Amino acid sequence: MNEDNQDKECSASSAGNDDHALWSALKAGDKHSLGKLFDRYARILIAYGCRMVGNKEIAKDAVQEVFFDLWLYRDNLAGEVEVKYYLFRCLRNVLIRTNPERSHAPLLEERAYPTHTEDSLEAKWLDAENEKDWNIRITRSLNALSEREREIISLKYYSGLKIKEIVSLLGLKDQTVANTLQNALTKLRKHLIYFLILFLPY
Amino acid sequence: MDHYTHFCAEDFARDDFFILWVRSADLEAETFWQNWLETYPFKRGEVEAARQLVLMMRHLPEADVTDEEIDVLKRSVYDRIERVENRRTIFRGSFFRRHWWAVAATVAALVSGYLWFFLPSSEPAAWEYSGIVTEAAREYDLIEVENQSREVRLVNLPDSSSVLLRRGSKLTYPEHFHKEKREIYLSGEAFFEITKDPERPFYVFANDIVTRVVGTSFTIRAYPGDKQVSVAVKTGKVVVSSTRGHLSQRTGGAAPRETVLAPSQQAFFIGEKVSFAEPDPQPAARSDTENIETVSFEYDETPLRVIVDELMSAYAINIVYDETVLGDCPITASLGDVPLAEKLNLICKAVRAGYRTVEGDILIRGEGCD
Repeated sequence: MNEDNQDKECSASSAGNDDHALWSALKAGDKHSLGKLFDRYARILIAYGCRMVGNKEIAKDAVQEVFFDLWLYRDNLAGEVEVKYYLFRCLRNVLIRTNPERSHAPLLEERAYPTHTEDSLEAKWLDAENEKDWNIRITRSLNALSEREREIISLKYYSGLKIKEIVSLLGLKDQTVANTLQNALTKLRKHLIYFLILFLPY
Repeated sequence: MDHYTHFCAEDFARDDFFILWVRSADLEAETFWQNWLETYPFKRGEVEAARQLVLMMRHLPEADVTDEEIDVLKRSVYDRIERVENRRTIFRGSFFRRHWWAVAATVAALVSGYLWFFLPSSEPAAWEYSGIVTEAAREYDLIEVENQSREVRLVNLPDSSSVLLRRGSKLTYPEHFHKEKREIYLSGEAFFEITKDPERPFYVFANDIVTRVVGTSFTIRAYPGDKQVSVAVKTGKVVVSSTRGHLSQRTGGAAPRETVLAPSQQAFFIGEKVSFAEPDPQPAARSDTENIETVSFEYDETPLRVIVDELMSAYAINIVYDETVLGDCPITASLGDVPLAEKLNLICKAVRAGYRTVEGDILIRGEGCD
């Protein structure tokens, strides 16, 4: 159930109006709004930071910095912004500023995922126990994607950013992002076909 | 609606409205997609594949972040904000302590130069805030709090004493109090509730006067440029002397003349002159909040909710608690001359609850009372 709620909050537009209200209140000096925005976005921001630099502690420090600055410079914040995208942008800027050598790494090299990597002990054990485990198969499918494909998939489906936001966040061309997403989905779909039969929901 | 007929699974899986349908119980999306599937049943296969794709994304391997980690991080954001806001200026005394002789020599040179060029005036220079604070910085690492907001501002001192700083007022206090005395410095107006500690008398320096306290509550008004400083006692007893006399006594001078003030007494000080008056019932500078000076904090079988409301308006703070559980708990207590922290302790003890400070709010939690 929890996951459902979280997913809903992360999906594209559901939190938008509320965000704007919180944003205005924050600009007016309401400290509770800062807390509410934190509750809403800290988790996905940490996850994104983690993907960028491959280190959770650095990601957490950067997220702290983002919210601290937000409060400190609240008088200078722009009035009309897409709040979630703005936060991602800030986090990215902080990480690039503080970790210039690490922040581009994930787009260039393959990096192991923190959970359920194929060679982790846990994965092997689950593998042996239950060949058809849904999570493992999905993780395998995702591992078949390129680093950039995973990045974009993650920003779209986990972070819930809009395509045009991903475009400007990563500084790529519209077409590049659209094509990458399309390719990634096609690959995933091929993987899906094998075990759809086993997990038919209807 | 029609453009969806050309969609394949990948196109659906990228569509925000489609994702909304798969992931949430959005009524509009549900109605739309159910109708759509009835109109175009041949797309069921593509739609199902797309649905699986979107559901699959829930299992994206992201960093594990526990709720506790989020909590800790949130607290650290607020702590950091608290630190910069409460300690706008920290005077580091070490420079003066280490180089006091150099500073003293410079001051002596300047003063003698001044005296040499200009005839000394017969009126001795008045003490004021910045001079006293500069003096104090030789002894302590200081924290200064300034209240620029419209409301009164609560300042908790290192010994848990409460100070309600009126708008436009400044308070400076040491990061750590001295072993034998507690000294703070005021410019403007504030209401004090001092933690009782007979071993360590409490001194408030305000322009020309020093107020000595053992454990009590009172108001001091000493704005910059004010010739007249006022002290009004609510509970307990305070002893007021001149700043000049107090400081000269420390360097071996005679004991200064002292004025003792009892509850409900108010005195005005102009230089060394003292005049008494009944406390002003409606002082002009106090329209910004409910007057804490007039609240007795005496309770007899009073429901907790009434007490909480009174505390919130007197201290301009927010208190959060479960009203249905604790609101009716009756409390009998006399909280008139203890600081806020002690008031909360006593209240919580009475209803077997606990409190903590979260994001500047006070959170009271308890099981209720029978």
